[in-house]
Amino acid sequence: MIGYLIKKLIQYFIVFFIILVVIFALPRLMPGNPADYLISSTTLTIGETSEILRMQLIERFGLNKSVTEQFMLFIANTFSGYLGVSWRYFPKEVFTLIMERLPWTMLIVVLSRIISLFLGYFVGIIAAWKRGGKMDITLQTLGLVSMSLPSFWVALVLLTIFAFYIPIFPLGGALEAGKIYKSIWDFISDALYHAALPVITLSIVTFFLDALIMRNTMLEILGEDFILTAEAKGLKDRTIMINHAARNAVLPFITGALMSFGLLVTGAIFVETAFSYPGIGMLLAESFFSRDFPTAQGILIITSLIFIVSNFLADIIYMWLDPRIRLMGSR
Amino acid sequence: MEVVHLSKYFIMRRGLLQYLRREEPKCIRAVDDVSFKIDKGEIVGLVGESGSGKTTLARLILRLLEPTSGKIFFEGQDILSLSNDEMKEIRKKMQIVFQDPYGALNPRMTIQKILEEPLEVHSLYSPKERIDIIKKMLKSVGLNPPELFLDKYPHELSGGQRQRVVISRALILNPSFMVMDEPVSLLDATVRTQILDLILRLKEEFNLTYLFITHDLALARYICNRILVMYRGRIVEMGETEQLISEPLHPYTKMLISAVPVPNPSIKISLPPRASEFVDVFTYQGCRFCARCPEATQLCQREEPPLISLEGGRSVACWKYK
Amino acid sequence: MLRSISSSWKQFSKSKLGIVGLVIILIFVFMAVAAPILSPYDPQASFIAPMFTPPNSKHLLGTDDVGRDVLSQIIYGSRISIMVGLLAAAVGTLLGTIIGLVSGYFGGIVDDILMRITDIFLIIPFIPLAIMFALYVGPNIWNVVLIFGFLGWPPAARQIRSLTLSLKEAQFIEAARAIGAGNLRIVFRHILPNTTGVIIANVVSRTVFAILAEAGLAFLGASDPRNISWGMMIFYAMRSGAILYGAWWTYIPAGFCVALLACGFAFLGHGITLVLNPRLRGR
Repeated sequence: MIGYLIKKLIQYFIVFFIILVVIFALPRLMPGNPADYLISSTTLTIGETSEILRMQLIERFGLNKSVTEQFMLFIANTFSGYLGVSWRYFPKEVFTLIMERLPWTMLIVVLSRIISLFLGYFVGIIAAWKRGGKMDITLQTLGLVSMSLPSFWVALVLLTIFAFYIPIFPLGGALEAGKIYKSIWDFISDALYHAALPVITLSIVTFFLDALIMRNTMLEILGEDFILTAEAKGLKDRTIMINHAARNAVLPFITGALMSFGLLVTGAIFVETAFSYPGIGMLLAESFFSRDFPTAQGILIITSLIFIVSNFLADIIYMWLDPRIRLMGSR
Repeated sequence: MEVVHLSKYFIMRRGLLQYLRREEPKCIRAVDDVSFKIDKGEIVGLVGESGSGKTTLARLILRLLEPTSGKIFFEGQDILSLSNDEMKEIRKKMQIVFQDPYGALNPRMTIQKILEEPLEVHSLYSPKERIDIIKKMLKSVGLNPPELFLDKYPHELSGGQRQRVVISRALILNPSFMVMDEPVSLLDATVRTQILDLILRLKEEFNLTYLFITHDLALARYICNRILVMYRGRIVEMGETEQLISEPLHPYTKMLISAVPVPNPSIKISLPPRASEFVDVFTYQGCRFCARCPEATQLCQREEPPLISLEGGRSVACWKYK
Repeated sequence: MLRSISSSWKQFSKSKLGIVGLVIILIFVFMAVAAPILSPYDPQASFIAPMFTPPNSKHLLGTDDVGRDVLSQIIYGSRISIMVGLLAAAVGTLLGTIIGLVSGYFGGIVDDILMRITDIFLIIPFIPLAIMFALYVGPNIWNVVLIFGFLGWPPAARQIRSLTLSLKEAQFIEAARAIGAGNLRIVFRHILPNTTGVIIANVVSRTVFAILAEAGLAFLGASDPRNISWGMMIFYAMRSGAILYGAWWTYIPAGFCVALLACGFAFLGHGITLVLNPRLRGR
């Protein structure tokens, strides 16, 4: 069992390493010297350029060393947690910047996943059991539709209706600016108040797909022989559904949930931007506006890592919950 | 066509665990040290159950698979030593008809395109001439009037018609040697006789030599003048059809013959003992057949009997006939 | 070939969703092609009316932050969405098809390496990578096309590869070899024509994603300001604080069009898979 995990860990590590290579290689394959980009963005803030400045910047960021040296430096830095310095929030470290914003993103993503998956679980089961019924067909159609919805548009629609016309929710941000909190509950309630609309938006966009996936998984399981046996034994429909089918569906469902988690972290960029919500999605958008390369690159690295880690967690949980693999050993 | 000590072994991939234990990779000896000759004008039958290696042998003869060892001679030439271009030339002279008439035709091509392709590949004739040849060929296999079939797709034809197309595609390059791999086993009984008669007729018309592969001994008897019996990769008996059937020598041949249904309900068919015993495909110790052989001896379990020639063109691989 | 098209159409028309999707797409295509005729004003003409005018009889969808007619922008915006969407999907699918064919047909080490690369690209998060790409290449509507060419090929490659693997074992392929056909011929004349269904389905489904991606990137400001696209409209709306003004007409209809067009392709794709499956299942 441990052997299986270690093998997977090594695989993921290799993947991460290759991703770093790709990330490193990408800008160097592009035409132009990163220093020139640096210049053009510093001129925005400083307002003067000169050859000396350019050379100094190159020196400072180590762009004059050989490619292999740069690569070594890059790898060493990344693994020790140093992702460079943000150009926009100079001289704030990229890593710190990301870590500041990450919790907010996690908040809305985790909340929306919980809601979406929880509802999706049940809707999916019902839709699968009454296959072909009204609920099933509606679900399939709505699934297709939700796949084609731009998340930022849904966000803006909700914003317009519920924050502008019927002002229930705030227009944006994670917390009210300048507010002083009387207690931790005050803080939490304010945070939740601001997170509500983003969470609802994300949930809407993902719910139908989650339910659909659950439905398909259930259908696969229902098609298996042991369900037939249960029916032949004369068990009540509901018993079969809950005890046999749903239990077996939990496993792929959870692993799927974990993997989609990674996707959502990056997908949240649009929703966050629409709500001016200060998570890493918003940070990515900001870094694009202000041409802050190190931050964008740092986010790319971190989100890749998150995705890999959630895949790995999914593997662990899958293994833990699936007695077959546990007993079979390191095959 | 002559085949000398031909072998094809398929090596199974080892899992990580076996690799670490340094276990030998298991291999399947699909074809093991097979030698025989086919003279011009013969119809030689290759009979065996599924898994006997007859399909693999067919592919090897046509060099659609590379053998592990051995030689193959066609019209005196060693075809294994030929280059790709030379082999392409030889391909015109030997062709194959497959078992599944639908799978053998590209579902996206019209019959005309299917038949044109061989001519295109070898750049034969002008486009106008090609159509004439195709029409003639369709007529020869009984698809008359040919114009009706040119624009049709394979799924629009019946099984028998498809098989005729497959045959005509094989013939269009004017081969002298044809391998037929179970050409009728997937067809209905009524259609079967039609196709078999067609095959015999074409032999006369085009002066062909056949290697006819089947699992059905009765079928082989109907068509072939000589029969090779194969079991688990080896030839266990060879001989003239009538002789082989009336006086089978190898226990396996006897088993095959006794399994052929006879249209007389009062005659009970009884299979000899151990006929259906399970065999481990990976062990090659002693005679291959001994696990199922009702007459096996200690010698049979220890050593593999070679193929020995007896008089009258018969050969047998069995310790009973030393 | 005409006969196979008509039989496919008959099957396709059985799918209600498919037909709806097709209709939607055709409407937008018409809109894009007939834009100069349909559009009441020049979409770029600014201050033909006060900014943020709500919808009225003269401007059916009101005006934006610089007084441009919103309806005209929407009509012209369809051009970008359709063109970029389809082109990006086509590029991604083309690349994916080539890789899938090579990988599936030749197998061995080539297959292993290509599949590993595919896996890597599937793990790298699309959006951050697309942003970095846009950072380097600059604001350009062809960003999406390039990004798709670079990142959008794995799904197509996977599908084509598995189809190629199963086709490779088919007897008619062996028959072609027996006749003496070379690998090139087999791949292009035999395998490829049998993959057209999968290719088309892939292009359609990738188009959905491409349309959303284009709109998304435009929304973030990664698109060329000289060309009006729906996503760009929303970007400007946000930047100019349209929400605070309550000027919903500057962004809601634009986003609705994105959603509708993407939906159209999604429904079309659904209808297409219905045509493909029975054909693959039955003979």
